[in-house]
Amino acid sequence: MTNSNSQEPGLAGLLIDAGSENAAAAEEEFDEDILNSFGNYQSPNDPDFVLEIIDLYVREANDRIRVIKKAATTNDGEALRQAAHALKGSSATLGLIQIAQICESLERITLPDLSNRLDVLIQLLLYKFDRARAQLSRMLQAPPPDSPRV
Amino acid sequence: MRDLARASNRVLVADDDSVIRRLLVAAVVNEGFTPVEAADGGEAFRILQRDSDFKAAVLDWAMPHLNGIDLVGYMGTEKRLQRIPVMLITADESVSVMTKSFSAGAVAFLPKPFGPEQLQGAVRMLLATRNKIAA
Repeated sequence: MTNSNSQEPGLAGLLIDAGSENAAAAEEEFDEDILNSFGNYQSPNDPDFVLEIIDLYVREANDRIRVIKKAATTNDGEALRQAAHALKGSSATLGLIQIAQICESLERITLPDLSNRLDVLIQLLLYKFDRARAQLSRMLQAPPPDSPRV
Repeated sequence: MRDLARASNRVLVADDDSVIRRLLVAAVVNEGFTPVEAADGGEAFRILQRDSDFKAAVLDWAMPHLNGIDLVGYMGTEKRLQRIPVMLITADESVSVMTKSFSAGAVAFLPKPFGPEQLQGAVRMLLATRNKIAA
């Protein structure tokens, strides 16, 4: 049974984090090692693989978030669920776990929760994505460390 | 008839998420195969309607227009496509999803999130699968 007042443990932590800018600013948004592990696929023919993945992710996430915001205003639950599900998969794979957690909450949101939680979740997603994008931009400035080939 | 035994070097990669698709393409290339990309289920369907020259197919479960599981079902109805081993990818790791994947005819299943070793291992295993025998 869904309790509209409940929060997943991970999400509660994110909400606290979002409300504490000093604490949030002091920590990295995600573990870069996971993303950098895909540097295994870099080769002389493909030297910028990780940078390409970062660029693709930011573009894709921007599009997905745009769909999520529009779906929220038009009460299009299916579009919301699909966009959140898609963003969850790529975010989790690249190690952006907090964004993936928010997307999972959006994906599972039910009608009674819409008015209570949707706006908060979307604000939280935007906040977390802004911070992740800043960290990703920093990664774009610095080449990733060498990784062994798969 | 035993598989249509052309040793195709091509792998169909269908995922509407450009990040995941790019990772899949890299894994396929890493094994020495040539990826053929589809950006959603509809595009994958159109490719499969006119082309069966694939060593394997990697399909996302949830795609616009046509899901991966629907594509596996379609491939099962076409003799020329039945020999192609398929791996499905999904962020849903439930037993129900896995059961549906294998029941529909998929030979491998890759849950998201995955790391590079897991991805490469799954693709390697898929590409080592002998072509399925056409009914």
